[in-house]
Amino acid sequence: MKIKPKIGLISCSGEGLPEGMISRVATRRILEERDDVVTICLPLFLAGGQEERDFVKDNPCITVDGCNKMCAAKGVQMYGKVHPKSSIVISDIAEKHKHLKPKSKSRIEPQDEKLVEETMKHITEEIDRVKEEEE
Amino acid sequence: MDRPLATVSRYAGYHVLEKLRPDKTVLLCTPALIGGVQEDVTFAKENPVLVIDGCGEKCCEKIVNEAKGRIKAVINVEDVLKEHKDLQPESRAKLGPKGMKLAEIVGEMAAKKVDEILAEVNKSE
Repeated sequence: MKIKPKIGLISCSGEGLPEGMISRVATRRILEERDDVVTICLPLFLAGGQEERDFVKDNPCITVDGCNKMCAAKGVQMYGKVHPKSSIVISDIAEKHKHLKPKSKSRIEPQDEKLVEETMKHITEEIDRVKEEEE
Repeated sequence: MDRPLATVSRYAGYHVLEKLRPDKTVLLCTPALIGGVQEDVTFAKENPVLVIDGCGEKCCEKIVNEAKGRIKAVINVEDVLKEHKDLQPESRAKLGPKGMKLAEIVGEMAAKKVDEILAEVNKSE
């Protein structure tokens, strides 16, 4: 029996900007909805956590970054020595869909829900696409 | 982001930044430091840094050290929880009143550290 790999969703830690909060909340909600994805702790991965690094080498990953610094995507390339299968950037989604820029770093305001939903839609599409590629 | 204590750490940071010491602190993204984002790396090298780690893995401390940041103090939420065993957070998504109280305590400890660090810096100037 072939064991299907899980897809890793790697959210930016993003404490420093509101888009980081959107990234983490959207990622967490996807994790609660689906059982074919897992997340890893980005700082632990970057700090040298072996389990996290092995996971990234052995499984397809999608990064969800808050801004164009793209720390999660760059970190996967630098320390995992692989390219993420897909890189999502919240600030690009917000710009493309003309969503209001989120203001709070510490909470999701009612007006941010649309951006969270849009991000979840993007993540879902990318998970399905990556799964199809892997099969 | 996969553990409740990481969420406590984050909220403690926000508590310091938004309520307790808004004019004296800024918040840095940990991954940016090791991802080589120059403005973040330069800031951590040129300014005193207070680390709030969520757990015993001490990822934040390791990353700031790797980036050659000037760590002046470290708070570990896991250690604070050991002293306040009744303040176990509910989950990573929802800290609940106990988890929020723990975040406030960590924030207050951090604010005191900020004052000590700044006093030391001012004394040496």
